[in-house]
Amino acid sequence: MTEDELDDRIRKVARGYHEPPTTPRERMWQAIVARRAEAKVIPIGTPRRTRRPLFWVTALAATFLLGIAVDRLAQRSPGPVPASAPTGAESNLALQVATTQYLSRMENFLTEFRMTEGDTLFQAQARDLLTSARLLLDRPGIQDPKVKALLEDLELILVQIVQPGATGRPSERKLITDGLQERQVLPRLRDQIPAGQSHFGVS
Amino acid sequence: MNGPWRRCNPLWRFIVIFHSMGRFAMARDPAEQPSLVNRVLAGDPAAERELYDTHVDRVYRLAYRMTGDSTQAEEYTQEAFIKVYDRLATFRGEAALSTWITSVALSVVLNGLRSAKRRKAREHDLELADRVVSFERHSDPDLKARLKTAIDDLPEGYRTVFLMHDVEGYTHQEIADSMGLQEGTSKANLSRARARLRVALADFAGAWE
Repeated sequence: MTEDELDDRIRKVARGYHEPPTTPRERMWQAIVARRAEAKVIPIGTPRRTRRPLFWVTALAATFLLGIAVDRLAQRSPGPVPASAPTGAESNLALQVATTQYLSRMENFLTEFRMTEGDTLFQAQARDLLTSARLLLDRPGIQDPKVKALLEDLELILVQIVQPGATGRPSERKLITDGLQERQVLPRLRDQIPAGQSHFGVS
Repeated sequence: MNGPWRRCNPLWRFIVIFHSMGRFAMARDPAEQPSLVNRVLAGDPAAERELYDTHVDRVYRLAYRMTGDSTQAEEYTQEAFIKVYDRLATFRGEAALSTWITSVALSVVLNGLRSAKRRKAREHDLELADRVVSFERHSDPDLKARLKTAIDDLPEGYRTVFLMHDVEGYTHQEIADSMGLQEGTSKANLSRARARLRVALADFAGAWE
């Protein structure tokens, strides 16, 4: 028997190797549908939103807290104030920096919120921003009524966003985005961010 | 014993597969392919099902041939289609859709088999040793069983090419595109696989004459 003949025989016998049964189409399709639903796979063509690295959230929060801490230290500094110690103007500057960064974060957050579907990461970020808004509102340094009103509006919006399931329900999302539009939150935010220190509303 | 394909890192294999799809393949069904893909990408559920119905037999058959187990074959087929839907946006249309799907399915099956093999090797070291000894003594009188053992013992690259070409009827071009190989490498692997099987079944040759 030649090699070719032997190969031919082997090929014929090999057709019985792991001979597949009828394809269980429906069963597998149901499983695929279920697994994709479980993984919350939404329309295939939808590009996956790139999750912002937690690094940036953490870094911005750290900067914000540092600003607050510097401000507090400056105000509570006991004893005679040395020439190099932060003055009232310097501590206000720290608060201005923190406020600017906060408003920038809010602008980014709200812009993305309007364009994408919410998820748990969104809510975690909203909680962080809510805490920061309340800290800022507690600071006596912020006296400009425009900035105060803006921060109060932002606080209300964030309270709505952090409600469980709020970002997942279309009706809730619509309420939030309608509120954003009615109160002109984003234009007011943008007014405050790029204009320089005189617009920060910090005395 | 182990070819370069088997030795290299699985991540590299993946990169090679996707890269090669663009380099070597030609679209084989250009009229049908883009419209179906676009419909699926647009989120049309009917198109998703159509894509599944068109290609599921081929994927399942290959998965079953490679695993010999219906549960595993179903599992790998499902995983392959989930990956296909997830990554369809990266399909550039330069390869035939069926080839691209086969390459995704192959990577799922081969990775799954490797994991299973590692698990089994840990659990059944002694049993495996016994099986190798019995094979070397040519004590198995049944041709089909001997052939099964011989195919099972082929290196992964040889076995895959043998099953795809000689058993499932894929062309060398399709195999090369799916596995990220040169067509010549696919032919060489098939030739080596056949040679090994001939040696393993040499004592049956006389009976067939």
